[in-house]
Amino acid sequence: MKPTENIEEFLKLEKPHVTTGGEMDKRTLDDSFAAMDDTIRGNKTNAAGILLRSRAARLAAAAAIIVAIGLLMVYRNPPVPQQPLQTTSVAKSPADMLTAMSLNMAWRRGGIEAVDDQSSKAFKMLGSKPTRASIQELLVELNGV
Amino acid sequence: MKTVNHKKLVKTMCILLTVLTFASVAGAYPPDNAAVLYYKAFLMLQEPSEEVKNMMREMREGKIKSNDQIKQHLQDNRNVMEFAEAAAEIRQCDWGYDISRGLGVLMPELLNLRLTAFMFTAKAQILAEEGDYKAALSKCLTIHKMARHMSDSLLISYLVGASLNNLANQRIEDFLSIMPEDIETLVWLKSQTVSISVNAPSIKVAMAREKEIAMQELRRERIDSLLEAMGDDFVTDEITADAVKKVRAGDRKFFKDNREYYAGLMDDIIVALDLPYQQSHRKLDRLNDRVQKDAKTNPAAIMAALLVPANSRVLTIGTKRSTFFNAIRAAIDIYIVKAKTGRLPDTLPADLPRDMFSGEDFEYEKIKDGFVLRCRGKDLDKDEIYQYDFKVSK
Repeated sequence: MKPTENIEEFLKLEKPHVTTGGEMDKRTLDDSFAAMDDTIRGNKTNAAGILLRSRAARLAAAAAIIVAIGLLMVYRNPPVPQQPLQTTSVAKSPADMLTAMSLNMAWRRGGIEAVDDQSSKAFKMLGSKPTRASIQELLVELNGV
Repeated sequence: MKTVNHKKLVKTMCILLTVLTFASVAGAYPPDNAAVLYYKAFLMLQEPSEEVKNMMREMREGKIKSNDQIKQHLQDNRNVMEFAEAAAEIRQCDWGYDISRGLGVLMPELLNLRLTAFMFTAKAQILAEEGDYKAALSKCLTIHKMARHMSDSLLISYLVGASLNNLANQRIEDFLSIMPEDIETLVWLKSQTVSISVNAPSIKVAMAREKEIAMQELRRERIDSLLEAMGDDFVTDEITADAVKKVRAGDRKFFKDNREYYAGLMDDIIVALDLPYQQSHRKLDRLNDRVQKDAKTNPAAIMAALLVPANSRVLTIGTKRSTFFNAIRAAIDIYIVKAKTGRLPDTLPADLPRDMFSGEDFEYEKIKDGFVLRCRGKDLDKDEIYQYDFKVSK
């Protein structure tokens, strides 16, 4: 009979009368934990060993790691979206947008509305201008009064 | 004695000079050049918000009446309108273009003139709503005068000028249809339109100026800035892209040959503009086809092919503008007959301004609530015959 079966038989037949102290308990627990750790470590080594023993599995694992790193890089540093090609009218200075040639081309593209739009954009780029200047404002500006 | 006389002479001279100086200052307004006042007006121009801009457009389209926001915008710009109105009355207008810049000449005034014209149409509609039709029509005439000041400068200013004329013509057509019979206002309007027609913008003058300025651009040292000004979006096909490549690589002889070809073509175009509309249109189309064909085999034609616009379309825009104005002038005469006799004439009165598409009198038709003036020739670009409807107020 195997030792495990002996113990099971013994527990079934009669209640064991074992008197345990604190030291005994501690030793038993320590032994148990050590046995458990050994078992876990042993199982892990076995699983990894089994896996790495296969060449195909090793290649698959390498590929998985590369993919994981790639994904990590993509999510950490997302690619900058490609800027749409800027149209010439945007790239030009406001003054360039108000030349006869540029306005001629605007007319060819979209008639009077296109001329209006282009001129309007140019003026917006030039910024706002003073619409009125009171005498008081001028005095303040000139004399600091 | 001599010293006393000398002192008196000096004193008199000083007084005379002072008086003359003040007299010249007093007589300096309005200036001889309308552009001075326009530029002054534009310095104070407050652009409308998008909301007000849309409202003003809807008002022009007859969808809404005037409202407080539009009136406030006009009130904010009352000085702009005053200066522009004074400028429109001045005969000469020199915008101070630097022709040496070629087609790179700056034209910031075009948009401001349009915005000012929009304000005049809004003001005219408000005056009409208030029943002051003569003042309303006067604002429309101001727009015509403003258009005259810009139309002979260059091709683009001619086209923008045509848009202003169209704006004014539409309002006058509307007001004639709703205003009560008033022979005094009609006779006044007739005399005003005659003077405007005498000074009508000339497409030939604009084309000749365009040629003069463009000739400055057809040089090796100017070509990069010219192509930049034309933008990238005009290169729509491989032929144009190839032409641009050849232009960029062109030597001095290439540009000399191109200048000669362009000048010859523009001269042919200017001559063709003298023909009646239908013939002129056909001739311009043929010239356009010729230059496009030449450009494939003759490097000297490349710049002309790139620069010359659709001239037949420009011709149509000009013809449409003058035909609409002639229809208004003819309608005024018909309204005068109605005011004098109490009824619309059965046939078109003699010697009225003509339909410029056909060179003939308008086709006149009395309808239930007014009359129609119909063109006899069609717009060859749109294959359309225009007609102008005039109502008679009850």
